[in-house]
Amino acid sequence: MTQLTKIRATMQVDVADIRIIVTHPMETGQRKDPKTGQVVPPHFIKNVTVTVGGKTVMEAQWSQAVSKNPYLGFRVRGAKAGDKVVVHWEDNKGESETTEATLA
Amino acid sequence: MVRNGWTTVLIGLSLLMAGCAEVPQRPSYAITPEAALALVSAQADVKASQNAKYAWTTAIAALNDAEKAAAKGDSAAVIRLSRTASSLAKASIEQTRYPLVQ
Amino acid sequence: MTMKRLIRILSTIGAVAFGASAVAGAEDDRRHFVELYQNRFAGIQLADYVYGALIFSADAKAQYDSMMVMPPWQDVIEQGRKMWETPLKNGNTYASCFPSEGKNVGGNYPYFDDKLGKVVTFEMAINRCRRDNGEAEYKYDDMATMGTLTVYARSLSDGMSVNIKVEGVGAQAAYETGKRFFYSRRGQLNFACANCHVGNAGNRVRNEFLSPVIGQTTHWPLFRGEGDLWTLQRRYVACNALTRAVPFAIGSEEYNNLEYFHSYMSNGLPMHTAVWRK
Repeated sequence: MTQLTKIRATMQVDVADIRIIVTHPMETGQRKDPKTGQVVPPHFIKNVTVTVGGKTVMEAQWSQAVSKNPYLGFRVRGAKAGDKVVVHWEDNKGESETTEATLA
Repeated sequence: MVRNGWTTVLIGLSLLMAGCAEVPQRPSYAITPEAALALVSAQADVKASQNAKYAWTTAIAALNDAEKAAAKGDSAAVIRLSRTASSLAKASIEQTRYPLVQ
Repeated sequence: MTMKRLIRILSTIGAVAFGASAVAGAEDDRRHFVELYQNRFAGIQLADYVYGALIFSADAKAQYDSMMVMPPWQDVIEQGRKMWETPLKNGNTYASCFPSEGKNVGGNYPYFDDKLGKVVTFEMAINRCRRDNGEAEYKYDDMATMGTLTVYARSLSDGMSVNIKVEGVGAQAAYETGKRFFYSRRGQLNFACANCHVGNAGNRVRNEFLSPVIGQTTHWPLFRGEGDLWTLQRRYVACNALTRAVPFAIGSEEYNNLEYFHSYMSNGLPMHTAVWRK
């Protein structure tokens, strides 16, 4: 399966700048398929966890409110170049993905 | 409102006078002769602006509303909306003569 | 020398002279715009005009840069790439229809085809490729097909300088028709393209800055907002509707001639497709 999560993690002076984007439909469950007229069932990411150097730095509980192909960006202190950045998410259908990158 | 035989006659005559050979079958509306004339004029004016490729969205919207009002038999609304459509359509034809912007 | 021969020679000279002045006309128009804007907007480099309205707001440009780091439309580009690389009915690929396999050709479109007697846009060339190789044409206004394919296909020309040519009597006429459209007031709001993008470039309409003509066509198709795909002529439709003028069809001769004139104004500037706008 193709990687849905992309990570860009770089040290900006003494702060780690982490940017993540996930290819995900984030369907609200309220949209109608324009061709069939049927409601498209909800399909969205529920939880996101990010660890840096083994330590959890961010946990998020998402909902239908987050848009398609969600982008997440944040900064972390106390990290150093070479640390492993791990992003894990789960969606409401039970699908999930774990992706790794190295802090540059 | 009782449909008046004159209304149908007048609509038919107006269409002939407008000289449109390709006029599609239009339903007979239960409106006054004055409203029918206003509607037919508006249709002709908007068609002219479309042929000139200078039609305004607001003129077409007013004409659509006029036709909806005609289907409901609301003669007053037909007159009001048709006159709006006609004046907008005529103004858009005038626009074809405006000088180019420098 | 017979009268017939004399007339033929004179018309040839006339055509050549007219043709020469045609190029001079378009280039004069472009230089006029460059001078106009550079006098008005001191300090903005010519190359930066490709950013359009973003050059007038540092905050907007910063948002753009942020968006472009990780754009949320990679799945659409990927879909476009698949469409481009999938062979057509008779086994040929789109790459076989263009020189250099479609790389660095985008800047040459639109061009005037003397045989066909009309302007040919990049999308028309794509459809000609489809027809020649056994496929039905794509609808010009369908973002899912023509839009998605061209947002990838035109990116193969990223970095190429726009290089529109206006040579010959037919091309000159089409260019002038497009130019006339640009300067004609339309719609109940009575605006010509020039009112906003020449006289009022750098000013705001409601809350949005108006972009200058130079650099406007270098970056299409593009994504607006959260990833809504727009082609250039889709934008023409929206602009016409905004002034309450009934828009022309995407792929119509009116818009093709406009695109021809419009694209010439970006000659010399680098292309970059699939960028972000609000």
